[in-house]
Order: sequence, then C-alpha cells, then structure tokens
Amino acid sequence: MSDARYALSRHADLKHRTQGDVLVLPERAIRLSGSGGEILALCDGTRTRDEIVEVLGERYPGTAGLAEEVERFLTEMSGLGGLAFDDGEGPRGEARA
Amino acid sequence: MTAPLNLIAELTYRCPLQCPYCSNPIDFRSRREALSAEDWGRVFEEAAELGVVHLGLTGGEPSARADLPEIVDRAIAADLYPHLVTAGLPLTPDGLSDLADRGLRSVQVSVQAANGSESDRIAGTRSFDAKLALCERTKDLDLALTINCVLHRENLDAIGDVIALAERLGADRLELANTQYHGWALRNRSALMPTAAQLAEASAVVREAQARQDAAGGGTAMLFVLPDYFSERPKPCMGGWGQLAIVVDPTGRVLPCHEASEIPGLEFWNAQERSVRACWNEAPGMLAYRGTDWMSEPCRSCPERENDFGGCRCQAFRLLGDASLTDPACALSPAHDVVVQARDDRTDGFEPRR
Repeated sequence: MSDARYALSRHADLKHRTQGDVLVLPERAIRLSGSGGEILALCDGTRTRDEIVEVLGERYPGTAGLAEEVERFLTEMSGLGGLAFDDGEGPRGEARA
Repeated sequence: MTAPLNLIAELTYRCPLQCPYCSNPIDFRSRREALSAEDWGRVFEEAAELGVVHLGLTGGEPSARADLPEIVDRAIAADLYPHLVTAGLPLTPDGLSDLADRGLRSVQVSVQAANGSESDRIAGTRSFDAKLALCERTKDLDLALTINCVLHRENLDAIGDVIALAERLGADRLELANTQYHGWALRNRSALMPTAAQLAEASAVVREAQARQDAAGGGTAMLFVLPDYFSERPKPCMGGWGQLAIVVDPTGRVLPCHEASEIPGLEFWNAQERSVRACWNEAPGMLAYRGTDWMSEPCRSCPERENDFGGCRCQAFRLLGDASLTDPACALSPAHDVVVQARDDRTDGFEPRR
C-alpha cells in the first residue's frame, strides 16, 4: 500500500468554511479538526502517504509523530468512505460510507 | 453557537404520491409556496456563510418544481453539495442527467415496497417503474444512490426483498426507515404500527444480510434503527434542536425540523423577511429548545441528555400536548405508557394522504 496514491473518493468533497473544513459525503458531513483539511487537500491523486508526510514535514518542521498522525487520519477517512487509492492500476479499494 | 452543516430545503409541498405516512403538514394545501429559485439561491449563500456544506433538496417532491435545474445551479454557485431526495417522478432519467451535468452529487429514491404492485398500492400512484428507471440512471451517471423505504406493518415482513432490490440496483446506501408518527403517519398510526415480532424478525434479516455483505467484503450500506416506540429510548432528533440542520419550508420559514412549525406558540422567522443567520441564531422558536437549559426532569439530571437531547419535541407535543416534556418514547418519561399502549393499538387499512 505504500505506493498507493490518495485521492478523495468520487462521491466526496472537501469544503472550506470560515467555521472550519468539512468532508462532505452523500447525506453526511464530517467536521475536520487540526490539519485534517490540509491533509485531505493533499490527497489529489498524485501523492503517496509518505509524500503527504514529507510535504507536511516541510511546512511544519520538527512536528513529532507526524507520520503516525497522518497514517491514523488517512485510515479514519478511508473507513468513512472519503478516500480512494490508486496504485497505478486504476482507482480501487474505495471504502463505502 | 454550533455551525449547522446541513440545509434541508423543502422546495414544495406538491407530490404525485399519496403515501399514508406523508411528512407534509396536514393542512399543506392551504400554504403558499413562496420562494423563487432566486430566493433559494440567496438562502443557499447565507446558509453557506453559516457553515452549511450539504444541501438536501426535498419536498414534497422537489422535481414537481419546473425550476429545479436553476435551483441546482444556485446550489453549486453557493458551494454546496446538492443531494436530491425524490419519489422518482415527475423527474425523468434525462432530467436527472441534466441535473448531474449541473453538479448534482447524490440521489435518494424512495420505494414503498420491493414489489411493483405493492409499492404502487402504498404510494397510491403508479410510480414503481419510474423509480427503478431513475435508480438505474443514477448509477449510470456514477452519482451516489441511496434507496429509502419507509417501513410499517404492511411491508415489514418483506424487508428481505427490499434489501435484495437495493443490492440488485447497486445502491450505495439503503435506509430502512421505520415510520415516525407525525402528521399523516400519526393519523394512520394504528394501521401502520408494526408488531414486536415483526420488528424482531426484520432486525434478524438485516443482521444476516450485514453478515453476508461483511463476508463478501462490502455491499449496500444498510441503516436500520429500531423505532422509538419499541426501543425504550428516545431518538436523538435532528442531532439536537437547532444544532446541525436548518430546515427551510416551502413558505420560507426557517425551522429546526420540518414538524416544528406545528407546535403552537413558537415563533419562527421567514427567510423572505430576515437573513438566514438571524432566523437561525435569534428566532425565539429556534432558541426555545436549543441546548439543555429548557429541560425539566427527568431529562435535566439525566446522563443521556447530551446524547438524545430529551428526544423529539414535536412528539412530546403531539402525544402529551407540551413540547417541553420528556419525549414519551423514553422509558424514563412518566407518560411512557401512552407509547407502550399504542404498540398494541392496531386497526387495518390506512387512509391515503389527500
């Protein structure tokens, strides 16, 4: 899975509001805290998990436990049906909400 | 103040169906449909400023409005995620394709049963074939598809067939929605009331289907919740009064749920006259039951008060005549007996919505 590139699932949207970022799914909306919206914005189909961690590491140097935090968040969002993976053989593994 | 996430836009009371559990108010024919597509566009913009991201386009039947395409355009312009809740007509598959081109993201289609003649009988209108055609087009367009079936005594025994239908249509989600007794459904309560044995059997069928899907690695996600009349616990209605969802009814009134305007003495404001922000933040009716300060016992000291919010205010009013009382669906309510007795109050034959 480490080569998988992350993208929002085809039914998911990331919305930005002054009140905060929100992941929107059919008949569901999930408020994102902390850097959640920033991580999802990096899930544009071009980056692997390690590359997402790398970008965030450059933005926030010296953050402890960043890789684990990103891993946990991506797993959570996948479980909600918000993310799809592409390992070069077309999108697959999209979790259902 | 919590930011709302969901706007439920009741575009019209009109609907070609006559379901006996219709959620329209009893006197809907005397009410005026007030908001133009342009008005709705302003409501969408103002709701987005409040934090709303998801838009349920509903009714009545939203596609009874000829200007639905323009309304979808305005939802997209306001950066909302438009979701259509439809009975499956008068919208046509080609009409749905047009809405998808404009940016519609997901569709919920109701069926009244899994069998065509039975669905048409309960709906009071020949509609099943149109519903299936719309489901198929939804999938062809790669939009998310939810199927909703309202459950009651006359269709609960066939819940397995409803699951099979949703799976055959490739639905992403299936809402197996036990009837909530408001409006027309309360009028028809004794004809719709299931038996405890039916509910136990239906729960088992859903569990089996869930296990089968888990073994197969996925499938149609199913939502089935025991009805509050039988669960001894009140439902956390709307996620709390005036917390997560804004309802705007066809007359333009801004409400915490679509039934709330039926509670006498509550003053709600109209989006035609004031900003959505003012209607949401300041209308006396919106403030009446927001949070937990309004509660009396047994809710006030109950550890569940932040989870179930005392249940449904409209149900407390409908059954007890006082919206500030604990929802009698709760076993802790001193008036719980009215719900317990209603479980066994059954008569045959419902009256269609007129």
